[in-house]
Amino acid sequence: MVASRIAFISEIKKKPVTEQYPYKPISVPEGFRGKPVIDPEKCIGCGACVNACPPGALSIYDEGNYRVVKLFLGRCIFCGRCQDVCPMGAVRLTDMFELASLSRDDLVQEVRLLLEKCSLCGKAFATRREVRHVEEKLDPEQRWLAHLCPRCRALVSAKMIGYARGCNR
Amino acid sequence: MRCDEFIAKTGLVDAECVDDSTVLVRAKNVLETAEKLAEYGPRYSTGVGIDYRPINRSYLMHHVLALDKDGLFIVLEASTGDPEPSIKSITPVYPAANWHEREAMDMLGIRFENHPEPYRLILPDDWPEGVYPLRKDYPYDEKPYDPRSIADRAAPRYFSAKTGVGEKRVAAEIPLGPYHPALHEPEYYELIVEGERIVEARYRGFYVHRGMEKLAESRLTYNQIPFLAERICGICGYTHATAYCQAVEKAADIRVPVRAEYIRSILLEIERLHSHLLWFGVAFHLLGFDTGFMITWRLREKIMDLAELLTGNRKTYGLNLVGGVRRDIDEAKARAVLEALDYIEGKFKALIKQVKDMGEIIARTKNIGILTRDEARKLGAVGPHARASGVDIDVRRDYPYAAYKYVDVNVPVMDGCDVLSRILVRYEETLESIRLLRVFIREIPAGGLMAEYGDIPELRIGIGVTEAPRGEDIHYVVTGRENKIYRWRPRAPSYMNLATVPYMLVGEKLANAPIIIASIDPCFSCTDHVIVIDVGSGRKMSLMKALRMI
Amino acid sequence: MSTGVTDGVAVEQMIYTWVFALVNALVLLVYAPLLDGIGRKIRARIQRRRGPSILQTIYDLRKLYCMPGIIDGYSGRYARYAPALTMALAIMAGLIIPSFLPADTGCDLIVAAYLLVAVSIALTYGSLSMSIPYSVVGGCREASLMMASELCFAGAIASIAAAYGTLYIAVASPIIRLDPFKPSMIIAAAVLAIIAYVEGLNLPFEISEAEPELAGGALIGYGGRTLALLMHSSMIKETLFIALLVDLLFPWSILGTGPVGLVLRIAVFTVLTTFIYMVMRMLDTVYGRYTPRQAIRALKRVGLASIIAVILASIGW
Repeated sequence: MVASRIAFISEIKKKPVTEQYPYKPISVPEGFRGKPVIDPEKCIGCGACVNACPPGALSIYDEGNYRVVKLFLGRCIFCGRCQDVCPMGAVRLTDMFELASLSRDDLVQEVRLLLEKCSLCGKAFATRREVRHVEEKLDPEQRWLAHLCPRCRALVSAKMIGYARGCNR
Repeated sequence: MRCDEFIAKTGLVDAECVDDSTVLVRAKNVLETAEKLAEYGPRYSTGVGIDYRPINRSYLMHHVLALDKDGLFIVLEASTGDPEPSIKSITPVYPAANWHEREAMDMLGIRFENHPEPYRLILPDDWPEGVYPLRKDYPYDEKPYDPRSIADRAAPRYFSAKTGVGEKRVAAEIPLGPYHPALHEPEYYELIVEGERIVEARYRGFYVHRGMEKLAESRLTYNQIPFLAERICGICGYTHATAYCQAVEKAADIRVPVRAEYIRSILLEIERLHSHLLWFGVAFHLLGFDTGFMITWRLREKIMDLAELLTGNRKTYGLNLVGGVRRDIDEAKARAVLEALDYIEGKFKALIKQVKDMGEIIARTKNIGILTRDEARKLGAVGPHARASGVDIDVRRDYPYAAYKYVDVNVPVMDGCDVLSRILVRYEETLESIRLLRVFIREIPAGGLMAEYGDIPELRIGIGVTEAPRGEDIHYVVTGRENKIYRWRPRAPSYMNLATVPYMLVGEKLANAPIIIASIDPCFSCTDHVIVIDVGSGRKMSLMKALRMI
Repeated sequence: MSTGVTDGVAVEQMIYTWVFALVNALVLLVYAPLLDGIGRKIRARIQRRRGPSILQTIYDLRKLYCMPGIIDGYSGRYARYAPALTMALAIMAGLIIPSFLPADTGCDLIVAAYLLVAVSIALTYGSLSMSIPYSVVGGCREASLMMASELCFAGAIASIAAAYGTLYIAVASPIIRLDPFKPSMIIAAAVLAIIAYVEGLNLPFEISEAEPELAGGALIGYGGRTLALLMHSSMIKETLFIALLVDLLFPWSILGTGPVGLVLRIAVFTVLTTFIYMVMRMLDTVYGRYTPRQAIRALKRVGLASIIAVILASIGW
């Protein structure tokens, strides 16, 4: 019984385990889920991340001729679903965790992407990069389809199918 | 026993198999059917109220009964129409149904006839009457009133408790809590004491109710809910995420790849380790032995580092999606796990060996906070709390899930029924966790991490159960349309175990109240309490009387 | 006090005595919290933590002293008097019980006991006058602990009186001698050491503040300056119990008189009290907490030992 007490007391000889952070830096392992960063060069404004984000930290809206993808860190839960679903690998979770700031603006990331107008009706329907991304996957003869908004595309496609079947209109 | 065998054996009418291990019994007379089922000795697991009006204009109450020895769940369905929905209470047959029915009462407005305690449970006392948040026509972001505008707060209540032989004492209730410097989380116990002896105990909680069920139904998709479920608890979050995923996977008949099952089990055991070590620390702190607290939490740090390495975060692992897991465990990570286990095992064993020599610790835990086996069974206690009172249940063995299907789990059961037994059960479980982890790491097969699946069919029932560090964690899911659920009910193990606290406290010394409350390892760590001082007469207390109260 | 000495020498001696006493009390005001700081460091290191600086308790007290005193508004009169009263008694004890400098205040064991116990009583009385249940329960526990430990204390004192026929500290010290050797004094010394340990609120006996159970218990109704006064006087009381132990056990006469003897006295006293305090804190770190009943039961056994000491001492052993 005395032996246990003495055993406990003898721990005093050992070095303390206290980490000296913040006076010394602390490292995080690989794969740590820290602050997400959107690469504005890669983002095409598709909105997949916005759909996947559980707390709604990511949002997407149109402002004038631009589509804005906005990340507000205040709502972010650092789950990394945005990184999972982004087709371009534009969103990456970094190892940054020291995010405290005096200014709310530091917590907001915005990517502004130029909107493409429909070549038929002139309505803005997707970002220029999205259109380019789709174009690349199409045969050269079909690329003009990518420049139509969904409604116009549907109308034109229906007409083409109609002509193909011999309707004369 | 499989579902169809059970129906054949019992000859139940209106029973159908939801899946292999779940029987749905649509009862015309729920009380009668409940009594009939009681013959098979089931354990009451959870009760779910569902607003089914958009489907067939009725309200449903699903009572989930568990047949542990057979690995079978019975869903007893009672339905009632609109308006004035009313169902017979089955609390007289299953006392553990008490809170579940009260919750359905609060949140859905279903009246339970002959319920012994039809009082508010979840909603605050000043919530307006007739407003039922879980009804489908109540928007999730609506606030019925501005709390600041309520002028009429409840005044302190006085009540008399007959104590002592023939003596009538008046006890004054001083509202302490739910917010108090001593409380770690908001909760409210009323302990009515005579000197150091507790004569009565009451519990009032649900101050941290966050409306998650409504949120999940209203604006989250199937794959977003695991991240919400993970945040139900800051200690056993991953268990909740896993139980939810299992519920949906069962409902939709999705087969999770075996490697993913192993990964889930590995993280589940890692979570169990961190939870038990945390609990040991808290228990030691309450017993005044802070050094023990520091030692166990130092060991726990190794587990937290492991979690961070494996999942990217110390807590909130974010690992599960419906159908599998998002991350793999490679050689290096597996090795790190084994190294951490080697470090912890020896030191933890040495610590507990030393603690067993400390007379003052043993004296404060042996024969303290007794919960008899009958009380434990009747109240539906689960987990180490139940196992320390001789109730032999463990979800990993009774309803095997994830990788537990492929291994044998040793379940420690003791019959001391006291705080010391609970300590010893958790000690054995910690060692068993370490053993299981080593087995999982060694035997994990190669394979994929995520199942492929199409649309999830709607209006299917799925029950996902896991053995959380605190006991059976059951998630009840009814699938919906457009990638959303229809109803989700997570029932944490502490829900059942908290009901046993008043039984354990009565007759004990006040000094032992914190450790007794903590011994159930409550998920809102209630190391604290409210004290009501019993006065002989009137409110003033004289020194002489005070000194006599020892 | 000696008689038959000329007035001049007597006055000079009196001035020495009271200057020494004043210095003792003043140094104690700083030394007591410094010891507490050392104790916290030791506790931390045993727990493998870095721990606060040893000056931390002094900083804490300084911070509290600068804040307005708070006393729970619904409390009785005595709760308001308690902080100042407790500190006054602690300072008085510090003046009269010899510590660093050998102040020949004519202190006898009864006066020392009285003053030290009075500090506890004043504090407890204040806690019991509060309307906060935690405070009352803490006060009750402190009261019951006091009754049990003061009995042992009294027994030890009685045994010393029976052994050496005097209550004066200066004369009774050292209580353990080779010639004549009295086994009862070994018991008395042990009892005094245990009582000093208990009065220092060391685990397993720290039941009146019991943070996880009572959230600060006896002191919960106070804040700022009043809290500082109570904490500070507790520390002084605790140190004085150890000082008493050291006064009674060490053979001070071997250090001689004169300036050298004085310096030696200061050194020996400081080293011994610090050492004893550190050992007590080490034990405190590796024990759990008793329930009040267990604490009283343990003290009953100590009380029995002190009664045995009295009996043995009266028959010459």
